[in-house]
Amino acid sequence: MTFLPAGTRQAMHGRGSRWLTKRAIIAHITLAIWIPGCAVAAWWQVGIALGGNGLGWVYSVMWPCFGLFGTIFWWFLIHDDPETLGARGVRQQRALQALAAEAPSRGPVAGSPVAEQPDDMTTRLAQAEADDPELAAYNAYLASLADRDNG
Amino acid sequence: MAAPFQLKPADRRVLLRYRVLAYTTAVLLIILVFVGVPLQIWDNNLWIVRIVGTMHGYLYLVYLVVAFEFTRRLRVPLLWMIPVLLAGTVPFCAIVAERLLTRRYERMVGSDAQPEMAPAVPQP
Repeated sequence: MTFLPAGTRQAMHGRGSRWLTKRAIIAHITLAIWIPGCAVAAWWQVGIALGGNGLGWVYSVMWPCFGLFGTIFWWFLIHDDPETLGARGVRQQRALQALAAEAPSRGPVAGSPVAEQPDDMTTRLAQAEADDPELAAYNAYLASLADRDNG
Repeated sequence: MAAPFQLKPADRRVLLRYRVLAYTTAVLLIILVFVGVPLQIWDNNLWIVRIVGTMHGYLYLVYLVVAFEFTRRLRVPLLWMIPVLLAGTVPFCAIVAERLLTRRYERMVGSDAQPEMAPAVPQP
């Protein structure tokens, strides 16, 4: 498994692929049930409202709102960056948080053993990256993320 | 082609927003189902159903938005996200969902006892 910059996977697989991932297909099916469901419920409430129960008007406005929200959510689900989802997303998030947690201790403190730590960490990281090209690629990806956010 | 949406990690603000909405909709729904509906059926008294029903309906719309944002940021799989969103319409389920998601948040991000997080992205 390789870690690629955001959007690369889709660029490689062509334009249509984001509509056919497992997540996308679950979203399509849910929307296909949700929209008719909301339409039927709204129509039912319009009937109740016309029958003289004023509360029906409240719900006959609400159900189309549910349908609209469902459509917006569906759009978001389709367009979420796959690199930030699922296990990949959790790993990415953990790595970013670990980096963030490390950051304050990076400043050199004169005469304290903590000052030694960054060098040691850097050496070990370089060693680990040399052993594992996948890790090196992932770290490069994280660095690119950091650069983009800072820039 | 539109740029993909970058999901940020969940933070405490999103967690708090979600918990407030989950509890509010849950309590309103419990009042509606266990007080309002019996009064409507046996006493033909409609005012609780009218007021609480309307409030729950529109707060549920807000709950949907907040829970959607929170579950996406927590990387909840879609097949679990759907029950969490629907939990706002079943009495007591929103409270169960709130417990599960808060635990997931604590596993992923750490509990409130931890010190304030450093800036999300370290300076090079």
